[in-house]
Amino acid sequence: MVPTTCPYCGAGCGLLLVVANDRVVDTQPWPGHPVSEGKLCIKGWNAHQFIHHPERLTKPLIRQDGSFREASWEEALGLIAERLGGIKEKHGPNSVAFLSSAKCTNEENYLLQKLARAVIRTNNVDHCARLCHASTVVGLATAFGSGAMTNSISDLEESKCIFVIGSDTSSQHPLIARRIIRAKEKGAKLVVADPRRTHLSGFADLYLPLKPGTDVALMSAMAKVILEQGLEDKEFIEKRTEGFEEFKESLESVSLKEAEEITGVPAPDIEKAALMYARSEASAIVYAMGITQHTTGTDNVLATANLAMLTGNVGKPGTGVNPLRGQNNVQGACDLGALPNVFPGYQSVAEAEKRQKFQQAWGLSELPASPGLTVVEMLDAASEGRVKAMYIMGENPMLSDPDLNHVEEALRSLEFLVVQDIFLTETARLADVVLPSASWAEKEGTFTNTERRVQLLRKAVEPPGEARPDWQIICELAKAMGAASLFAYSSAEEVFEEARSLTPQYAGMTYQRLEGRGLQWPCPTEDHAGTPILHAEEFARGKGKFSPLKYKTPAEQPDEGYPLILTTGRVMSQWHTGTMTRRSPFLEEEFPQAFMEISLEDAGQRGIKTNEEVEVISRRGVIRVKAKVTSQIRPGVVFIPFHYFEGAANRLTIRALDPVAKIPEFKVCAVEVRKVDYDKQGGP
Amino acid sequence: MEKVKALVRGMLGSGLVEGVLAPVKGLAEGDIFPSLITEESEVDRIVLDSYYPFSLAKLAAEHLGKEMKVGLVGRTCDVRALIELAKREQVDLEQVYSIGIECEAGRFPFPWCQRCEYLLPSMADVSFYLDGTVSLNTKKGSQLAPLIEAQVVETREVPKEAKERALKRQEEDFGELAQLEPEERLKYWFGYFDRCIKCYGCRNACPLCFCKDCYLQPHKLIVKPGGNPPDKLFHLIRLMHVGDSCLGCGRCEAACPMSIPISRLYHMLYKELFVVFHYEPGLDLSALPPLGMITEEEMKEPGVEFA
Repeated sequence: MVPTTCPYCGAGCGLLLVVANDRVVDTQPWPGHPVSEGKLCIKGWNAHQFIHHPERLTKPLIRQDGSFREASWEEALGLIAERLGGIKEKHGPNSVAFLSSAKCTNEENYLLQKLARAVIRTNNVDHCARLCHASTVVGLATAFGSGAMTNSISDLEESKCIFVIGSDTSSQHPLIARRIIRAKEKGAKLVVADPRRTHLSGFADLYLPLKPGTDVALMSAMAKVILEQGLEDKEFIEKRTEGFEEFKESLESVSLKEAEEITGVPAPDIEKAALMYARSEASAIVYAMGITQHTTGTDNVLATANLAMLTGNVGKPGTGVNPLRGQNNVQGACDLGALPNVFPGYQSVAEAEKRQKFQQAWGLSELPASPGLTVVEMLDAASEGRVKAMYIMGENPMLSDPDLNHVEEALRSLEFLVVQDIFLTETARLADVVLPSASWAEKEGTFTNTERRVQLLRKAVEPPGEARPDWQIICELAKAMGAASLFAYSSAEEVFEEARSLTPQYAGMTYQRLEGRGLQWPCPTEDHAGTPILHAEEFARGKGKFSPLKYKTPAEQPDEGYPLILTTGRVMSQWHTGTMTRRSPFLEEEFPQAFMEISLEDAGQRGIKTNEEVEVISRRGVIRVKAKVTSQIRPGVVFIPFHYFEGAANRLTIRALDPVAKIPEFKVCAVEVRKVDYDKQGGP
Repeated sequence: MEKVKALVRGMLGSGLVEGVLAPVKGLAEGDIFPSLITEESEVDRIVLDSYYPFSLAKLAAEHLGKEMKVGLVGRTCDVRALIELAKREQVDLEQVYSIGIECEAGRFPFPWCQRCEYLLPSMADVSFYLDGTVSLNTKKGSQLAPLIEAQVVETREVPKEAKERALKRQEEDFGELAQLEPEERLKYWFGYFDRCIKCYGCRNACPLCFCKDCYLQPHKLIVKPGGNPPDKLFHLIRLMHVGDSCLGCGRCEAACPMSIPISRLYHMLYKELFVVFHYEPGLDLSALPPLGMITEEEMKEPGVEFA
């Protein structure tokens, strides 16, 4: 039995891997694990199923005359070093861009950003946090000074009122939904706001079926009610926050009636939600991508922070603003600096002092000062010819990014593309060189879950064929590029030691201390017990900052040609682009094909029945999926999970970005839906 | 409990077994893992005074194969599971030395433990009692005599008071539901089933759910694919499959992320069937599960009600 950390969501549950004859044959729950307590979701129970899949990459591949041939590591790394070096020489360091990975370990993320910054000398390094919680990182850093979940997963049980907005928790963070259900058993009130009737909404005291993209209007109206009824926490506001007067003024023009019109939620329900949240002894906000993936993503996050500060629901048990991070290590990838504007520990690349710190540590004269490109900007730059080469570790933008037709065009226009992964993903198929990586069960390292808990990943078996851990691949590439001395690590632990010496939040952590329960950052010294609740005495930025907000409409509104709103998301047994789950038989058979949820009304108008094939059309593309007619979704809205290459929701989504966080608006775009007429089109 | 460890050391040292399945100390304080101990040096990791939520019997059936000579150190519920799995040809009892550990009445707060009538592992090859004595209950158990350091006593049965205490708790837990009108009872259970997130944890944890090709999975075309919550059938099919032999061990409920009182339902149905068949699972290898053996006459017996 090898105790380790689940590779799927940000809950970070504990698993025991059963190993027999160098194969992982089973997954068992970890009984005393602080997050999962001996329980797992369907993905956790089946986390081993893809590890020994026959399609695992086992040798480096080099594209030759349009197809791949196997190559030695030496040849592949030599070619990459030569091409990246050449492109950097000819077009400058910023013509190269890196996508790091929220699926990889902290150590690997640390190394990839180091490779980008110290070897190529560019800040063009980002990862899929941009696509899920970039607005959280920016928003909560602005309001509180730290862009992470304020409280802990187990702490949700202490809450007396939980306001869940934009999170299908039961499907996407099942072991966190468990805590919400348990809080409810202990008498907590539950308010759920979501355009879809999620599993959790079935247990809600109040369900608010809001229109996608109207979150600011909803939460501003709630704040207005709280102020009008005098339920604000005056002492907390006075002592611990700033900017309240401006915020209060900004609410003057807000009316419940208008909020009802915008959100589609009846005014009395908005009022009820506000009162439940404000009157409870300890109220927590839980949110996920339902509010972050918008052009107003940052505003939405700021709106949650406003509500929490207004009622003094920060820094105490059972309270807080609790973003549920998607990937197993998306928190860690951000913490360790796989972001274009910050070094590890959110230390700005633009600040000379911070650059100096890293220059000194790495023994370099000058690190690049200007922030690099974000995910979507990289692809735009690629299609415009400004970025010539990309290096992608463990990500699959060909399915995960908005507007896939554009993504494909951008990746094809690169001079050189390297993809490092465990399977030949849709993105890897476009690469010039593909490097085979070790999976989560085949390497050491650490993952940081959504509650900032850093946990060990333990090696259970050897990687297949010649596959290697990502951290080793990066080190060897650095050597091939003449930077051996900067990447002379003999273990993941050595990488961690260097990373923690430069990352204040992790400074007090060692592998030895992480055994067992892990540690929650900030953990500044080796005798510090970690921090389950942030901002207890004061906010990370000193005073909490209110932000006046104004409701803005989504980038693309439904109109006559495209009258429906498409919102995207996930299902309980699949994971993101399906690279792992679609190769796990028990997970694939639960949701084997792409589908679209559509309301009875909208389906009726179009003569669409469940299981009929429909065409979904946006200004950017067309896909075909099976219809699922349901009463569980708002009329005017359709939902498509984005896991399926054969019916890829992201062919339809829009590249419109939040101006601050640069997160794309996956949750709203305008579409039309048509029944596929085989008679006219000559059969299926 | 040092004497249990001494026996395990002896079994490994003498080459009698290739390994011993036992609960061992986990990584964090109070944490407990299942483990196949193959070295004498690992024996000290065995933990005998804590509750453990996994089934060593099921792990043996799934991962060790029928040929491997092993020992199993576990609580009564685990030894009983071993016997049920042997009836279903998932383990070969000839290859497994079962070493049972007595449970102290009321020691563990879980409702299934409180309802348990089987605190003494008299069905094991060897039983260790809380007072430090041991009994050798079978021929296989007697073979271990040379390795035993503890005082050997006669096989003990569960004291009357302990059994009554368990039955009283059952009455409380089940009686409350039995009093409800059928419609209300369904509402109670369906309300809980709505919490289900289809993790299959109850099935995965249940020592009796051994089918390699499981009827709950979508490819069997009975329960619909997906679903949060799944069809009600999901729970009812499993109930029909294992209800007649439910050990009341609570592994299902311990694994449930949504705190559905599954064990209460299964144990309750088992008890209703017990009135008809008088079948006690996990005691006698030759007694077979009644729903496979049912006669037409028995089907006409009154008093069998759906939980």
